[in-house]
Amino acid sequence: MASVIFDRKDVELLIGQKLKDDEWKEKVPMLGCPIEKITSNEIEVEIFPNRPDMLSAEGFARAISMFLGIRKNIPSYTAKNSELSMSVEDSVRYIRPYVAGAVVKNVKLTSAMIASLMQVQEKLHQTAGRKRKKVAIGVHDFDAIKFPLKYYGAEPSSIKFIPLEGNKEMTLTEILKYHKKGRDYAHILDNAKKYPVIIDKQGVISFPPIINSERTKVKKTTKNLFIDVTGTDEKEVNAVLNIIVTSLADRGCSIEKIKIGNKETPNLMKGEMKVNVNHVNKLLGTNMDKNEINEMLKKMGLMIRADGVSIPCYRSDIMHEIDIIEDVAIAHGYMNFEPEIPDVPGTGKRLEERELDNVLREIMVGCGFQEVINLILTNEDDEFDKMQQPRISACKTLNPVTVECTMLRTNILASLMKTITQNKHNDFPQKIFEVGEVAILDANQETGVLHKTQLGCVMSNISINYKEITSVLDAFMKNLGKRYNLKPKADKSFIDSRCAEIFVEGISCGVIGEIHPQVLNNWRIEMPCAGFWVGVDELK
Amino acid sequence: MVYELTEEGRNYIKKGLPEMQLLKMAKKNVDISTVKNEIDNFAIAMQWAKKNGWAKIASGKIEILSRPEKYPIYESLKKVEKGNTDENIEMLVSRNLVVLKREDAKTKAEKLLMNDVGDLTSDLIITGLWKKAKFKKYNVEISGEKINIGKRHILSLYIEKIREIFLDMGFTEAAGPLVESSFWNFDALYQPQDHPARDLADTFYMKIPENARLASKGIVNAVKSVHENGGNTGSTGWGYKWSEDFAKKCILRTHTTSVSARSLSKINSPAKIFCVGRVFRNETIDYKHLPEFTQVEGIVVDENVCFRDLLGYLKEFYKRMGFQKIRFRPAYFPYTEMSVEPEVYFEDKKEWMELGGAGIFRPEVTQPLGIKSPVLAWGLGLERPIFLKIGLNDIRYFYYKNDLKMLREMKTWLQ
Repeated sequence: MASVIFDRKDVELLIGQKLKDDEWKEKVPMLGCPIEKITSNEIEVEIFPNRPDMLSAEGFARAISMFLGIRKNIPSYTAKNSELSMSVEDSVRYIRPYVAGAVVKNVKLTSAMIASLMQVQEKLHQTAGRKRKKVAIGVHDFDAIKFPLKYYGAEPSSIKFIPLEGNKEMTLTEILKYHKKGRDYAHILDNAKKYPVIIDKQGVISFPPIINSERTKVKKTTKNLFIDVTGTDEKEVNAVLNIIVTSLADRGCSIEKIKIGNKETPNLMKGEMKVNVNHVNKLLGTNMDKNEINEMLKKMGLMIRADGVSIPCYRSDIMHEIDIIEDVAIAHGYMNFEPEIPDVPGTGKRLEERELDNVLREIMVGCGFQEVINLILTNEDDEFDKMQQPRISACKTLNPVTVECTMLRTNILASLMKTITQNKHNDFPQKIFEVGEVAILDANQETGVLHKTQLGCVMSNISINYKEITSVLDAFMKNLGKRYNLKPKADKSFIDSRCAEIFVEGISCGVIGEIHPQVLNNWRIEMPCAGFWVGVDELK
Repeated sequence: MVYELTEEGRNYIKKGLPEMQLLKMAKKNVDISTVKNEIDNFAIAMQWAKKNGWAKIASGKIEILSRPEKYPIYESLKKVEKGNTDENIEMLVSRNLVVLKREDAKTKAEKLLMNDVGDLTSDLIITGLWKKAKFKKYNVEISGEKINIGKRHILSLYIEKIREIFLDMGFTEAAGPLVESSFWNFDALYQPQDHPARDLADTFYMKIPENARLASKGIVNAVKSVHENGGNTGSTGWGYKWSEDFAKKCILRTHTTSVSARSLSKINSPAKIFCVGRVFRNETIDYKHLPEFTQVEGIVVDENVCFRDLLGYLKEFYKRMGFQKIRFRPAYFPYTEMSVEPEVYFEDKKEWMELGGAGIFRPEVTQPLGIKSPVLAWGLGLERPIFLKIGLNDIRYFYYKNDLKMLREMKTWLQ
């Protein structure tokens, strides 16, 4: 998802009408673009990834204008033929195989237009371009280029040019090492032995996806543009080019094709997809005829033609009939659908394994304990070291952005100690419990992990003794109707000889005891604590 | 303190203490058997006589060693009879000759009546003397000391409420693993493998365990072809080469939609299924972000359901949660089309708040899982509406801080 800021005056000029603040806030989001902020100068809007065509001010204005019925006709774009050409060598096949290009003539660059062009380029790089990896765009001064062009894989140190905003010639290797853009995007070419370049008769004009040449830089006085788009996905490369050129066409520029191998780009022909009227009505719960549907489609820049629905060249998101049905729904207005509850049979059934969890909570609340809920993510220091437990193998995360979240907890007790630590300033006694999930490695499971539920409780006060916590366990077990017994246990989290293993009907299911003072020191807890944990599955 | 004689004590007042009786009997050396039958409790008598050095037993006979002029314990016992005590009282108590005098209910009640009565006591009630009591006037407008009761966590209460809402509507509850394969979390939901949501920056990948076992060959192949070319769904597909290895990568589930995908692979139409569960995002912890939160997931599978039904379920759910004003805004998710973001209106803030996502699963999602009918689906955030309802401004209070003061003060009745 991309957040884009547009110049409000510029967009309203392109729409052909001024919109009130309320219209921006209430009507425009119903096209599927939430307005984040609106001032008299700026509109901040969220553009969803399926509509990259709305990342440009022109495309955004075009969509709104049709959606609100301000613009009645559906735009049609054409590209003139030209004799210009670009050859593509096989050497790019495994690096960055696809390239497309277009010439844009009669450009009268205003500052709003330059800002818009730069923004759409940047936003397309980030989104559809997957940070330039999938698609990258180069914009050049057409008149500085000496055609024909060649796109090929060059030896990194065999070729030199002055990169954009640079003042000396650099090899491709040097650019990746020393130029800011080179360093930012060098990783995309990590495994390439040759680097992709576009050259004209005088040398490099573009080193995609890194940087253009200073020689073909666009200036305020530039009259004609050349756009190159390269990438790893042919469909996206062409779609991105179409988004750029149709935006410029909306500003009154004319578009010319270039020959690339045996193809021509840009291809501004409309696409087509079959749509069944019955499917539309059945899925939406409506009763529209073909004409009504057509009226809806026109608001979205689509239209019924003889064999199906015609799709504008800048809409690459339409993969299936369902995408067109959605456009009908959006044009109809989500708020104009009457919500209803259908008659789908079902008697309602709880998850049996959760029922005991609630019984346990009930008993603990009855014992005067406050329920707490902790993160399941934790780290080795909290889970093992502070509790004086050995670091056993556990589920570990690969890429945590915070050092607090390196693993999933294997026992619930440490979470409760953390809660006590964080409540030093609150009233005592503190009696807390949690019923929650822990994760145990188990190669027999589909994902290699067994998720288990545990109950843990801790009480803390000026003085606490072993008997007090066993009273709680006793009440707990009696209310479950379970016979249990306790056997002395050596567990470093607890004081020696004040710790026992809990057995229910002969099966070990938990540990009870007074928390070891070293553990309290590790957690910086100042009051004595006692507690127990039991495995909920073992109680069943 | 007032003491009174026990029955034994009263007996000894008349007859003398057992050791006195012994000394009286045994003028000279006599057989034990003769004495034994004549005095009360020979064993005690002999114990005290020995202890005081008055007598001993030698070859079956009692030998008198000395005779005291006075018997201080006996004197003390007589004092108790008169209502006095001295330093020997503890000895008398230990010999069970006297006991602390228990005031009878009447005495105690009468004492209370000497002043205005504070606490009403059992003595006043059973004696009927409460009728004569003048009760102290209390300030009834002030409360007593604060107590901390045992209670559920606010989030846990809301989870129960939501479970009830869906169970009432006839939904079946489902659950699934927290450590999930990329396959069920992303691929089965038609999320392309280069989708930004699958970046390391957003999703927790697992170092241990690294890979999961994949689903059955049939499902895997159907998912593969739907990504690559649309399979037989009539879609163009994403048009890239799908990697099985990437689909195996273990992650922490980013949404409970993975549970819905798993459910779809197992069920037949019609079905109504819901799930409330923990989900994970690789985020730094601050007042707005936590790496874990709870999602409310639901699907409705039926040949005849449509978009209006989806809106109907969402509206009904939020109505039962207590939100009257709701609107639906178009949205985008790779796995649904139509896609909806339901928003509820918060009067306090005068703002529409987005609460989650919903839609109708794309055929590219349902068909590889063997479902031919439309599937309505939603995945709604739980924390945000609660957050706004109770007026919190720091999400860390939920899982991270567990501030007991706040939890103790939070109300249990959800309105």
